[in-house]
Amino acid sequence: MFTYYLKLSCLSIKRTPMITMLMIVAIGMGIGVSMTVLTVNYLMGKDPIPSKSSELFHVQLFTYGKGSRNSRVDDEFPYQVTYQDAMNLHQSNIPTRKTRSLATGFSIIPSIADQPPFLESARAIDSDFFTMFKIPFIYGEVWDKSVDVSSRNVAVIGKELNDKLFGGENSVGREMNMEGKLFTVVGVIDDWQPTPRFYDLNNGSFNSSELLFIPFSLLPALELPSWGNNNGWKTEIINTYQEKLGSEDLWNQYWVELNNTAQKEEYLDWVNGYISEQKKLERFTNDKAGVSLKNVTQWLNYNTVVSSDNSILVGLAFMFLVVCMINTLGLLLSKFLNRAPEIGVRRALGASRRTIFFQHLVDVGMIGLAGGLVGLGLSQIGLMGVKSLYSDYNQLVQMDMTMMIGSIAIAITSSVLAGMYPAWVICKTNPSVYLKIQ
Amino acid sequence: MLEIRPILSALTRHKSSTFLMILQIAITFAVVINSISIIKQRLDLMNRDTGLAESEMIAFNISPFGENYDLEHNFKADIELLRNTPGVIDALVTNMVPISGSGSSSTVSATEDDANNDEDRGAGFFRGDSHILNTFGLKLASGRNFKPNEIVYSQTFVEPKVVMITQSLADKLYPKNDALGNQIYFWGTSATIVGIIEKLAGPWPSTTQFMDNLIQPIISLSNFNRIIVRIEKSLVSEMLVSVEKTLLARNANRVISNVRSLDEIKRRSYSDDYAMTKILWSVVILLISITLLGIIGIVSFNVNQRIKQIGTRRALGARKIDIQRYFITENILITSMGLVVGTLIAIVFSLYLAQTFSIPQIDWYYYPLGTLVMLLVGISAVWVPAQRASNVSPAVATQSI
Repeated sequence: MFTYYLKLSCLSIKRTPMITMLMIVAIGMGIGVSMTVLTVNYLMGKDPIPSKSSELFHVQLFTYGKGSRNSRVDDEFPYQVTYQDAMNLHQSNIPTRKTRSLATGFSIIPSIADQPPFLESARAIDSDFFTMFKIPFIYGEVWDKSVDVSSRNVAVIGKELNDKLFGGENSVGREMNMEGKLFTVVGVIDDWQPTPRFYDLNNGSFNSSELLFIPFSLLPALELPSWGNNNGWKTEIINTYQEKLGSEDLWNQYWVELNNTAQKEEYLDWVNGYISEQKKLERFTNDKAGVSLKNVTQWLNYNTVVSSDNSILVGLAFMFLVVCMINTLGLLLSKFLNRAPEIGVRRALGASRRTIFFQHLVDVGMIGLAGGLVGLGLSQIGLMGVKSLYSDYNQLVQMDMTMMIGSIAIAITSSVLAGMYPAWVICKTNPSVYLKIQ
Repeated sequence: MLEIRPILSALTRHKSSTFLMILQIAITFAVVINSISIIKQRLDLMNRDTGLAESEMIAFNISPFGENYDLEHNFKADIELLRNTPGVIDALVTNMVPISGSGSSSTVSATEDDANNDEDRGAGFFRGDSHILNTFGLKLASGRNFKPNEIVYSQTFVEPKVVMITQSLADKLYPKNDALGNQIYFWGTSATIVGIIEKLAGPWPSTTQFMDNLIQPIISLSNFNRIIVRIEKSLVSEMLVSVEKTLLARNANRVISNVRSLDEIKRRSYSDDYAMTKILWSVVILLISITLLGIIGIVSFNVNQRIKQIGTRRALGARKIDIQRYFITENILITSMGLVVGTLIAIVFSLYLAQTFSIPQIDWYYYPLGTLVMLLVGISAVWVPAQRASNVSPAVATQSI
């Protein structure tokens, strides 16, 4: 029977091409717009590291003195930590893995004569960083743990930088000139662009990841400046790098990996103990002094990575889809009622109401499928448009399989829903009405 | 003769299609006027007066490397080179670029009180010499520019003795209008306000402190600097290409980076708002198109259903124009009903946006303007089907199918 319905549907489409075209266009546009907006929204809110997002925690400490706070968030904690706190937190052996983090950068002077020097963003971190965030290596490996304590001029570089400086070869052991200092490459990682760049959201949620990683322990020796945010709530004279390291400036980040609740509780106890000690040293003088651990998902929500503009667009896209469906409903009504005489004949010949109903739903389903395919094509164009508008979101705007199948599914489902009323109207009409000569 | 009653009674026999048209028009109206309201707000935001000669300004960084790089000497030499370039109006070494999203700020206060209180304000902290007014294109509202002997070149932290602040900051901190000559307090120290600038935009357009800024007479000898050049508008694109080569020719031990015009910096900073306006425009246009097509479709169907009725009327003496007028009137009635419902939906939608996303509510004049647009859309949709209806031959009345 199903193939018979399909045959009938094709015939009816051939007979009313204009109206069918209008419907396909309407559904196509509705799906195109909604799927473009929904894809961007879905990708923006996606978990960047689903296998570990509940085990990776960002550490915040309320180090402010009396009267200071971070007015941009509800819990008023500062986004970053001080150098001393990063160093002190690192003393705890409770987390499975842990890393300090600083956004910095260098001028790189390539050894090839023709290439001019260029600026490159870098990140100063500890060796655990790569395992914590599951970053794949293509050559070599991260530096030894001992380097996190007694620094050496070593670096891990990204594939793109490796291509640029060393033609993509295995560059382990080769040297790089970074502002006159020689660094040895110990490892090369594959392309890695977590979206959003959850480990440091201070300067933008969708920035590219760095291509250059060096040990955090190099901070005092190289006097590495921050290329990220620096917040100073306390009036302090900071003229030398040493003074900055000892100050209350908030310019580093700290991440830990805690694999179960017991470990998390143990760690919180340890940090609270640290805070009590610091209070005796006249730091953490605010009443709200304390620690906050946020896992990746919580950290992303806290930083409002998905903007309110995006949410508004989702609402508008939904309304757009509703209008398209109402449109389709109206057109379907007209199309079906136009064929009422033919249906009358079929009913007179013995077709049951249910048969007529289902046949029309098949009709609608086919139109929905066609509309969905058109919509999928339109949404690709839409996403290209979005890509050109938001220079940040370059890595975002690819539809994955889920979204594509979702588009077709939404198209067919909403069309069938819209088509139910017209199909019901047509199937309950009295056949004799249409068999009479008008 | 306006046949409203017959039209209304005819509509009750086509309840579903009428209902659908009303719903479509209502939702389209609500979405369209809310979207256009948001578009206008974003455009206003992007076109705010910043007090800067935006189309004449270029910014870039100089990142020196190697030992023995004399920052003061090189800055002075670079600035002189730039100022002597034909077309250049002025040039400046500073610490941050307006509208760029990157810079430094601190809290300032009009009184010496230690504790944070409500009178404290955040302000952007610019650094520069007396050329800042000319390079940015700023106007002094009152007071004076820095004197040459007030400028300090320093590698270490300096407490400025004099500063210039913007009128916006002065109004917030000194309600008695006594900012000029007064002290302003920050970093545990204070400085005298010698000049008040009419308008100067800081680095962060989405903050309330965007226009609250302070200028210190300091050139920091640091690797983090921004060079700003003001050049005749027609020569901007040329300089964007040539400035790196020119400066490296004088001294190659540095990287010149982030060479951008202020227009481009502004576009990047506002890219989210800009994108939102583009997307909303697309939604508005597509939605109106779909509704237009939909109305055409439904009205055509209605006409087809009533061919016998039209034929009968014509046979009884109605002129073509009477038929046309009938359908147009019917359409206007339906559209008006849709607009009434649409206005309610729009108000609810606007309230929701205001509460959830702090988007200002729609101005009153959007409603009548939107109504006019939708009526036009409706009439243009019904025109062709009405024409077709009027062409129905009276002979149809006596035909049997």
